[in-house]
Amino acid sequence: MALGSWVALLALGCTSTAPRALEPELTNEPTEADYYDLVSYATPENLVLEVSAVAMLPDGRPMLATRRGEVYIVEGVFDGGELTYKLFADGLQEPLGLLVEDDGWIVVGQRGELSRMRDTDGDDHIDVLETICDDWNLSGNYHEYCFGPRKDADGNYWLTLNKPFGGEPFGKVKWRGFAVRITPRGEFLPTVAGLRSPCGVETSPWGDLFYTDNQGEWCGASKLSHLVPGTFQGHPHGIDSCNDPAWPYEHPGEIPDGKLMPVAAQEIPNFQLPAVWFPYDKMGRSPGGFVWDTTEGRFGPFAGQVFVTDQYHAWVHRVTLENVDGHWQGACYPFRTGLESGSIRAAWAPDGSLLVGETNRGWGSKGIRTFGFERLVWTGKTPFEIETMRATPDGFELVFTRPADPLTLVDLAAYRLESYTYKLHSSYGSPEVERAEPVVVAAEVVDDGRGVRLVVDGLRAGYVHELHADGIRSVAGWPLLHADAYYTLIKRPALTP
Amino acid sequence: MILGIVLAAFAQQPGPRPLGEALVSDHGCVACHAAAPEVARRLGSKSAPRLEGVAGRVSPSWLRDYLLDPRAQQPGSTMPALLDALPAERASEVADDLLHFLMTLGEPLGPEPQHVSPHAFERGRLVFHEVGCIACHAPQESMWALDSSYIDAIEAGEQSGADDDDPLDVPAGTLAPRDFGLGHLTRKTTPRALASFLRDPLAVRPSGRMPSLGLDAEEAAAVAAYLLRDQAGEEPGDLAPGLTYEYFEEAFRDRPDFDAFTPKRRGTIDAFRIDDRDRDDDFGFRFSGFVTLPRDGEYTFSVTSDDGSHLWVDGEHVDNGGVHGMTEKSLKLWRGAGRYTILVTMFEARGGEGLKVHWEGPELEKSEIPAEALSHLSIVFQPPLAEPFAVDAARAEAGRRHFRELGCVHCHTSGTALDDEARDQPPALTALDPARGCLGSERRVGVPRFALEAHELEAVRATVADAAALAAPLDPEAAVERAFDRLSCYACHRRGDWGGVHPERREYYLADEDAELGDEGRIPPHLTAAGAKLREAYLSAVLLDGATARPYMATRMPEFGHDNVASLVEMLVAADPVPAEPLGGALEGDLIEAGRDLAGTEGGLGCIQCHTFAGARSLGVQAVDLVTMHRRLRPAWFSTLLLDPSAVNMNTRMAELFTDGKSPAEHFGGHPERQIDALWAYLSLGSAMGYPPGLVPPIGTYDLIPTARPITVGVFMKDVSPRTVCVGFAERVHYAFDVQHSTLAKVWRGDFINVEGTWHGRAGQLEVPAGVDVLDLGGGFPLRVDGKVPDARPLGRTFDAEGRPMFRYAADDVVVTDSLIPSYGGGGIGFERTRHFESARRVRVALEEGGATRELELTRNGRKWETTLKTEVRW
Repeated sequence: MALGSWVALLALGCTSTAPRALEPELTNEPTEADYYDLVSYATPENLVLEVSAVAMLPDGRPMLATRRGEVYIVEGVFDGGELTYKLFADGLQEPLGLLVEDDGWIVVGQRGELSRMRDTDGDDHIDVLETICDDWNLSGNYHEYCFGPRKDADGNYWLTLNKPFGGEPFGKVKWRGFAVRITPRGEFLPTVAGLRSPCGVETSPWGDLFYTDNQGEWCGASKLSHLVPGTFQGHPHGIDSCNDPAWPYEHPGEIPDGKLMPVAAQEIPNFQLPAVWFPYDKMGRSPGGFVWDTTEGRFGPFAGQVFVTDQYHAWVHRVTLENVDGHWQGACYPFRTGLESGSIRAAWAPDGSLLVGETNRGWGSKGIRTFGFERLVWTGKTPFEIETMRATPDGFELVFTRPADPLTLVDLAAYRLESYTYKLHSSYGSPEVERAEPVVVAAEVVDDGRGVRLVVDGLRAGYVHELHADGIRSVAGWPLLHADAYYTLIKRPALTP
Repeated sequence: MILGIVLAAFAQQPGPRPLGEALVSDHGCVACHAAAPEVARRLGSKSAPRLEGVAGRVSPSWLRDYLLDPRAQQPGSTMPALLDALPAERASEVADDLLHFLMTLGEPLGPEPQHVSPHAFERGRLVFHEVGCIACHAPQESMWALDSSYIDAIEAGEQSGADDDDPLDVPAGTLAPRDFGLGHLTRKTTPRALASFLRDPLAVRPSGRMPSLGLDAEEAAAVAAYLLRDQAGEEPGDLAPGLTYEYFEEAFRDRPDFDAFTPKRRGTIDAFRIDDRDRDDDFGFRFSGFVTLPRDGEYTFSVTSDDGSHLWVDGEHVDNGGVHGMTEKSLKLWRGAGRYTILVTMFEARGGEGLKVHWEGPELEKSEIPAEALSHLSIVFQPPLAEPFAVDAARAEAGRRHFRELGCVHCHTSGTALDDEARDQPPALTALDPARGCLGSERRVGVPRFALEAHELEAVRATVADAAALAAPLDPEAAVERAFDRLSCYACHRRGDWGGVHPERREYYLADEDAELGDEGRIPPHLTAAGAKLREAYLSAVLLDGATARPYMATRMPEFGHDNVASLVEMLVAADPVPAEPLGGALEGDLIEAGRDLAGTEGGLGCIQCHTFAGARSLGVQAVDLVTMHRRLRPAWFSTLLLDPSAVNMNTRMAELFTDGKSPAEHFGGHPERQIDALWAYLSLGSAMGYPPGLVPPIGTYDLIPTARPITVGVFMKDVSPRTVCVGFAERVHYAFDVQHSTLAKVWRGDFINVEGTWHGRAGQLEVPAGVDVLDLGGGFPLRVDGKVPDARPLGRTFDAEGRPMFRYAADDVVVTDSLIPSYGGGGIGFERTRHFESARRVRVALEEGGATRELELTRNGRKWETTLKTEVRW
């Protein structure tokens, strides 16, 4: 402890005269809008553009699917002029994902089938739709959404199948609440059980699939979770299907009601704890689609990180992941609020901006519209943010997007920590339970103020560690744009060998 | 401001009927004095009110006075005085006896005050003046005093500038406005009894002189309250048990702004109940009143609803809004014992529905708020009787005898044995001495005395003296004239030289402002040559079944009762010769398609500029709907109208389409007659007509309208599957393909589909076709491969150049491509269905469809076996 403090003081001695000229552009307290512009687009009066999927065509035009079952090609998005919406297809059933293949097919997930579409004569209108697989069924409940597809390294398409809520007029069906793979030959492989309302599914740069789930019964908090084949994500709705020979993995068995998440993970076979929990209201309410930042810096200082849409809050937040002892985990951070409607889909535009698809029908959201799409564009200025919060054997390491004032970094009062976990239970959502306040006992400046290592007393595996770093200032004296980070500590890193 | 009720004396008006004949008819002379059937038919005699249940309709004190002197109690009454030849004391006794007898007919009125909500009263003012009551009854208030939602009539009249430059210039032949007095009602009846009468006046007065205006329960109650307003207490605002409620039919979402909508109905109700509704989706209720808390303390109020609701108690709000299943929300408040305002709103979108309002408080278990605790402000109406009438059996028996002996039985039924008893037969009409009996100058006991002016009496005597002449058949036009006069058709309609709305009443004839049709939108149409204009079946539909074609007109076409107007259809047809039918080409697809083009605005004649189409708005004014034309109109009249609109109506707004015999549209070389043929062929499809090019579909609704390219939409379809793709065509013929089972599920015509259940809120409702002629094709997968039911699975679909889908599916290893394209054939529009079968190996394919099995011959073509089957889908 004492040693850490001394190290920090030494560091302070070296950097106390850092030039304020580092942030010459800032005259007022910075806001999100200083760093990320929101570009909005009007829609024609008679077009209800409830965007349910966003993809980029090879020629750089965005393709949007809508919850009404239409697919549009939009022209003029990047040149500031009048937009043209070309109806590519209609009659699809609630398409919630589009995937543009290299060979020109556009793969689309519908409620009851995975299909692919093609314009064979170049008139921007569908000429053929082929069913790839429809080996799952619908009971006729509104909530039986099908999210995806996303593709893994073997060429399999992944879908996440929502569970029904309420009436099932055509009778109960199997495989609701599962992530499934469809092989390139159209075979249906149920792969992960226990999903609740898995609105986002995405392939990571290293080829693994992740998904987001919405808090509710048996899902204590919304989350980002790793889709590991054979695992169980917590919701028992569909697990009778695990008796079907098509499920080659272990049955999760009877699911106890009311255990703490880390305890449930010990007791239930192949129980998958999340990568990141999104504490309710603090980090959204209803996560949707997400993307890894593959823009190599054209979207700002967060290359390689994850951007997650949230429907209710009409915002985009940020996630960093690290692999600790074989488990992907990490932290989430506020990023950009103030979108016009419930954001549920995101895709990278060729210029490195982020296209966001929006609809709030049926659930409501913040924002001034009920549907639409927008573009988030980096202004080229670097916000003062916690770039990454990482776990260390005895605490956390923070890396900032630009140097912090070391004097504030070593002030232990600059940090406040809370930790809590959730229950796995049948009630709707879980309160934050088993709360405690871990204590930062030492802070060590790293890399001339670009980071700080915190030694923390009271770390608990299986718990969210909520950090408020309100006391940190940039070298120019500004606070962090967002001083909060939420690290889901599932595994604690071992001492470096 | 409410003006006093105008008491107008009954006066026989000069009209097309000879005065004597009119009086003989209207006084029902043939009820006593038998006449040959042809005479009775010509006279169309008025029959007297039925007295079954009269005790429940009429106050005893009024009835007694009426028996003694009918005309004094009810201006315009045609009932004769029967007691005035008796000494006054005896007359009084007989009247009492009759009263006791009449009071045995039905459940008597009670003296209990009747409560009417203030808004019902206000509504009554409008309904009375808007729906057509004022055609025969004097208006009670000036148009300016009424806050009508309809366009101001006087301004509309000025705009149209037709033939009424001077509003007080009365066109020749217009009859004096009818003023059947209503002032006696205050003493005669109660709001409830009058409302019941107004809902179905023909049940009591079968003669049709007082026709039904199709008032619903709320309107009837409102008009009754308005007409009986003098019974209302000075102090509005008494408390009555129960709540007031308003019922709405709207597509409400989340937190409805009820003030922005007009309720379909209002009324009072004992508790928070939503059963007084006409449908289970898209409705709303608003309840208001007071809740009485029995003692001081903390109360919990909760509202449980499906879908959303809001509750306010003494201004405190519980928000239970949104689309959801039965969900409870509550509030706690501390209040002293006493009465507090309570307001509950609820709405239902789709699916299940429910509403419960609970309370819980000191010494009060949680329970639904009971009726005893609820009250509302009301207007109290005091019935015109102080105490219940006590029937004296002996007097009633005496009254029964008088009823028979005085001859009341000749005119009135009573629902007793008297109706069927043999009775004395007064002399037949042709055998009457015009100087004696009821036409004589002497007053004699047992002889009815009619209140006729001297010149009227003379006219009747003259008619009776030559009664045999009444058997002579009338020429058809005279027959129509007499019927029109008798039934007051002329009060609203002009026909030939007679009738039409009197200028003094014109301002009360109103139209929906939205239609922008000026006088044509508000004044009932003239009926000159109506028999040549309208098809016989449609005339029947209007007169007997309440059919209407002018939704924008506030005045309603009354129902006169089958027996009173059934012969009018024949009379009109006989009076208005129908020219030879010039139209009638075969219903060929090309002709129909040309007609569809012509109705549109893209190189056509532009009918949809002014006429609505199957409820879809036109581009300009909102004139009579195109889909009704063929059903209503005779082809010759249609043809004349199009060639020269002014020939059928000088004041019509119908555009002149052809000038100098040349059409602006190019079809058939611009030949007007050929184009009219085509339009007529197209119109003959009625509600299955295809959309005319240029029709602008309504924006913001969930009705899908394929005006150009086909629309496809995927839905959960009731009784089909959750993976049903519906395909809609501009030709207004559509199909539903069940992708899950690879079968054609339904075909239908007319409107395509409303997808609110799929596109609104969380959606997921089961959809049904919107149109007509829905044919269910269900019944399983029809293909057999090698004699067995194959494994069917969807393969997707392809699209032709017009965007029409072709569904593809596999039956084992036979690949089927299935397309339906609209086509015309016998009976109008249907489909041509093309199925292509292809297999990599030689297989036997059979089709089990329409009760027959058909073997398909697949022929070898290179490395595959294939065949194409074309069938017609007609229904």
